[in-house]
Amino acid sequence: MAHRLRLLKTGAHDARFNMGLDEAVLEAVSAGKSEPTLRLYAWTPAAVSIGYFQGLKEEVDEAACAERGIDVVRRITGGGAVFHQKEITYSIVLPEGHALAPASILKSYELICGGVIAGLGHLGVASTFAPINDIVSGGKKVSGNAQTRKHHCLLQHGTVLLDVDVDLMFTILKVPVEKAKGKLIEEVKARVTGLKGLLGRELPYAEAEEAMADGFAEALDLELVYAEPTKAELARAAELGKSRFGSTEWTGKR
Amino acid sequence: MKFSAIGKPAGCKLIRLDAEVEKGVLVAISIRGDFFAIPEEGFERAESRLPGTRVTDLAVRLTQLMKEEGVEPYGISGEGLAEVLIAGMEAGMKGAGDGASA
Repeated sequence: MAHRLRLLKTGAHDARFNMGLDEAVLEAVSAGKSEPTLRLYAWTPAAVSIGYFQGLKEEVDEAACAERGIDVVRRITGGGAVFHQKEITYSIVLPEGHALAPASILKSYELICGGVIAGLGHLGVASTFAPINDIVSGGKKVSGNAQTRKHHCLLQHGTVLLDVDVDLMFTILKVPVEKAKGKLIEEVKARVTGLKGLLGRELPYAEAEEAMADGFAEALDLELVYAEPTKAELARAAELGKSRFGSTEWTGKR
Repeated sequence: MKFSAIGKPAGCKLIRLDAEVEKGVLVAISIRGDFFAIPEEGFERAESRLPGTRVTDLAVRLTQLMKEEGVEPYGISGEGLAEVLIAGMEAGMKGAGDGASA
């Protein structure tokens, strides 16, 4: 029997709201007030999100972001810094014990990333899972994913690049030479790609959204029920957006 | 001796740290990077319990503390952290001492 999940298509919002709503949904699912949820969304203005354990000043050129009106936010998930500009983002929230939330974190990464891989397949892009948390196509990273477990729930969110301004990305993100492992920055840049580059055409957000919803439904055997976030979730997202994701204490905590 | 270090040991993601070591014992440490450690708060508790550890025991100690705190690490390990810290400490000793960076 298919797994019933609520599908939220919340479109483009700012970084604080986006991270606030992911956490608000996590809390609501944990409290039994909302069903397990798949959410698809985008970012406006463009933003950088950094991983829970990253040092803000080491990863992001804050002045370059401020000049360009680019938001900076710290996630509740680990992993690396991500530049969110032209992309589709998903988040999935499942309670512990759900058939799609195996206890093994590595297994659950692979299982959930299967939805992204199927979605990319719908668009004609062949891709594979690259442990721990990436999806690659033709040797290039096309999706990064991050998971946490809180309040007896799993939250995983991840991105698929629709297009990427690599020069801008590497202007606002600081890439240490240790990460490049001796490679030239040009080689690092060459390892990142967007769907535009892979497909040779502009991919409208709505088309990507539909493909991702279909991909998740197919790979994870989902019955997706379209819904809007509840009023309580929206209120909590706004509250978290202000108190946590909009606070310099949180963003600069490391 | 205070120093900063950065490294990407085998099997780990990027690890950065600021540390203070006196007579072979860790006095203070701040760990950063693009690794995962779930629950995150458990890792922070483990990190806060590291001061007082001999540098030679750091790998075993972090592994033990993460276990005690119920942390599942991905991209960081006791061995990886010790490798970065020791390399940074040695670089600091070779260089000017305080404030040296690996």
